[in-house]
Amino acid sequence: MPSARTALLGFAFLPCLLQAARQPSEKQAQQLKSLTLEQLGNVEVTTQSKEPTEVWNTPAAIYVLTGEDIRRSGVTSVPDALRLVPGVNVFRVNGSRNWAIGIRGLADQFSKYVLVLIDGRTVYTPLFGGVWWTINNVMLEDIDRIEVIRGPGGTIWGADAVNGVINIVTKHSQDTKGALISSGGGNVDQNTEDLRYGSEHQGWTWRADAFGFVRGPEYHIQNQPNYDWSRDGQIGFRLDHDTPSNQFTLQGDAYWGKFGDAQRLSTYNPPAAFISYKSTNVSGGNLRTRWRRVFKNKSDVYIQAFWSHDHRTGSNFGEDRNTFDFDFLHRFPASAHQQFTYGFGIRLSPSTVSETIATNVFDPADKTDSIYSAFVQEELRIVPDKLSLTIGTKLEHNNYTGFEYQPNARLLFTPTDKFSAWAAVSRAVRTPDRLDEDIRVDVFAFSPPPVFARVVGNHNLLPERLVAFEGGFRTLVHPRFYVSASGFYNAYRNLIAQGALKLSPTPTPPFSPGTIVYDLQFANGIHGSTVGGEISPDWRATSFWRVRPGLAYLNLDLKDEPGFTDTATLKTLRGSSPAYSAFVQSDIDLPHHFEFDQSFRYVDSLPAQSVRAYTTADARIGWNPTKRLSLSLTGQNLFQPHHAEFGIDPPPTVLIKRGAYAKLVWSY
Amino acid sequence: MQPEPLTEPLRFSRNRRGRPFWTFAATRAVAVAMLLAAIPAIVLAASPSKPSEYDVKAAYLLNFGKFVRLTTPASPRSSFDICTLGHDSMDSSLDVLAVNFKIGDLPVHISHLSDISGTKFCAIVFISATERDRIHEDLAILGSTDVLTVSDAPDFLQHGGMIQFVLISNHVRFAVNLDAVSRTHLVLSSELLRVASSVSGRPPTGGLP
Repeated sequence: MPSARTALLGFAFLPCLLQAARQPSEKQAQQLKSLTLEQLGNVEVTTQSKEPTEVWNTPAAIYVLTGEDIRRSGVTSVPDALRLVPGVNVFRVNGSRNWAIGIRGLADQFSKYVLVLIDGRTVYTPLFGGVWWTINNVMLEDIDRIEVIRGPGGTIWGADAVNGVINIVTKHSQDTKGALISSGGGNVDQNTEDLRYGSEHQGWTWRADAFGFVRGPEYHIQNQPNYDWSRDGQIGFRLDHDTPSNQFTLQGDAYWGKFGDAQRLSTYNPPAAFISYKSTNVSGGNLRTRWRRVFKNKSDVYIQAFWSHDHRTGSNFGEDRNTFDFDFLHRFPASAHQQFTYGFGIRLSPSTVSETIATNVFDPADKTDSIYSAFVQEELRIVPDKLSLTIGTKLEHNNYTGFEYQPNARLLFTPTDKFSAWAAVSRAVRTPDRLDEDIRVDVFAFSPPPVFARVVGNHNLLPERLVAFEGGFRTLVHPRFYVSASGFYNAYRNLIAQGALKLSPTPTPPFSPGTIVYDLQFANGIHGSTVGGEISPDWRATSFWRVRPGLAYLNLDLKDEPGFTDTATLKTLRGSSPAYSAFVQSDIDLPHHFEFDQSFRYVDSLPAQSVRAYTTADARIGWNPTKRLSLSLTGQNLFQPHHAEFGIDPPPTVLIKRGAYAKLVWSY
Repeated sequence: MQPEPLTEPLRFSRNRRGRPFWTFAATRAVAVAMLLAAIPAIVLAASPSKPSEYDVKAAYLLNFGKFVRLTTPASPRSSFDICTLGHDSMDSSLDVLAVNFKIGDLPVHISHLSDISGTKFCAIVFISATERDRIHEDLAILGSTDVLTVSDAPDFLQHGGMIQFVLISNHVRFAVNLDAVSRTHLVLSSELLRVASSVSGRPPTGGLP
């Protein structure tokens, strides 16, 4: 289409035309000299394209999403923000269910290969080895940054950090003083209210916040009820006290939520299946404390403890879980060329599953998951400031598989301050969870005679294992152009899969006589490898226009282990990771304090989920008329009235709607 | 990976082909509109241009000289020396701005050092974030000398630095650690402290108003 091509060409040449004329002039820089200190503090500046120093020296594929990136993108939740990280696959299943999020493939609603932390507190649940994104909400204005490490983080973070780690870091309370009110609404994110107040007293800084949202259903075809609405409210606080050698933090949250749902459930008597539209109720809270002390000899000690409680009741099951965690870390220089880090941790998580329907059972109903871990790591500076080698391992004992070890070795090469390259080999392990081991679900298939499938856990599962070979580089090609790229080869073994149907001998009650039952048991049935890479340039085209494209590629080569014959899970895994995904973000600062931000994204098809490849975009216009007030209008998923992202059970697939919302933020 | 296990794992009706839910022309129209909208936006935006963060940090460094006093008499100087340790964009910004700049009647002289031993004669030292792990050592050496230490490295104040640049919503501000200043004969003017985004530590007794 000619006009699209012309538009693209014009778009490409424009920065070149403008660049020469728009450099900040030397005359303007000289004028800065005559400003007072106070006036200097009021000058708005452009920052360099380069990543923060911490990222530059990290021998891993780390990507940092800053709070400012999140604000400009107009996203309304953390999972939506993660779409802007190359290598992270994010699929919205419907308006109220858990998101399917994966790093470097293998995304699923019950994704087990990504570890998620909020301020160092693990939010993964041992129920299914994944994260309930819907209950772990963070007020977006409180987020300082989200660090995403693509690749195994087993040594420091522990088991289940197989494909990656997502660490959500909130702002220090020193940076959130004063009042903030944010209010927004639209057609899908119907109502979002955030309130915050922070202050300081004699060196202690604190903040308290409260937020809530009402989110409407997505698009349903075929007269299906609009069941996927959600409502959530949360309150929280944070207290900090920093002195030059000590940092202390105490923070906590409490939440309540109600989510609409649709679940296909079965009954024994009469043998039948039906869809329940009973909503899910959730509530819970957490408390976390951390203390860091820096010593004169450049060593530091870090202690963290947290408690969290989560309660959930839905149509298919209910769960009450408490988690207690304690971690200790000590880092010290052993010589001019070596730094040692070691630590240990304990996590206990007692839980009770309550039965809400007889056909869904966890056996045993009560269980305490425990992890005892220790790790050690050495950083060797082979050539100071240029080449360093880090080796380490974590040793863990868990209540499912006993002892597991996760070693890794990483090399970092920084020949100049404009180029850094790294390579790593790591082993990571995912231990089975309650779903893999303790579940017993009876599913009605058809009648007559009544036929059921019984999905049953396996207490003899081996842990899933990954050995990853990765590498990457970062370079500041030009002060305004920065590129970061990484590649990986992941070798998987013992991936847990659904076994073949086995006819069960004469079924006993609760099945009625004459019922035919097929057993389906989980087993370590799949192995293979994935290969891929990510590239993310960051181009500050002019002082007011920043363009950030991103591209990720993934190739899955998985097969059944010898002797394992079922292919259902294999087909799902193969067809649920996009081969290509790409995005382009463009942020433009306009005169009179306007902002115009766009993000375009392409996601390849997911054949096993019956989802076609799609391209869509979000756009946001912001206006910050005064230091205290800011207004914005954001449109999301603009290219189509609705599009599919992931399959769901019970079908049909729910489609994600085009939406728009307006927001006002007032701060004092 | 297992399919959603709490409901039906056997996807009998899984593989229905999705119908196209959008018209091709409508998508193209929205895409073209969004791309075209960016062009006038860029043209409109072309008028203001913002200074770089290092130009503003360099301007701060030059100005700090006016707000720092020594409480003991010092040997006479012929120039006010501002030094940078480590290499980053501060070097070029400072060179450009320091031309013909005076603090009192002393001309400002800029030195770019690669080693801490050269800082003996400096009045202000800007330590680049590229010094990384050496910062603690550098500050231990400088700590008892009457040199104002400034940096934009994270945790600079915790290592014992005196002034740390911070970026708050695209504005360059600075935080001050008075405990580090009290260990020397330097005193910071209250005008500087008033403008700082945060001040920690206790001032030395008998300080200037």
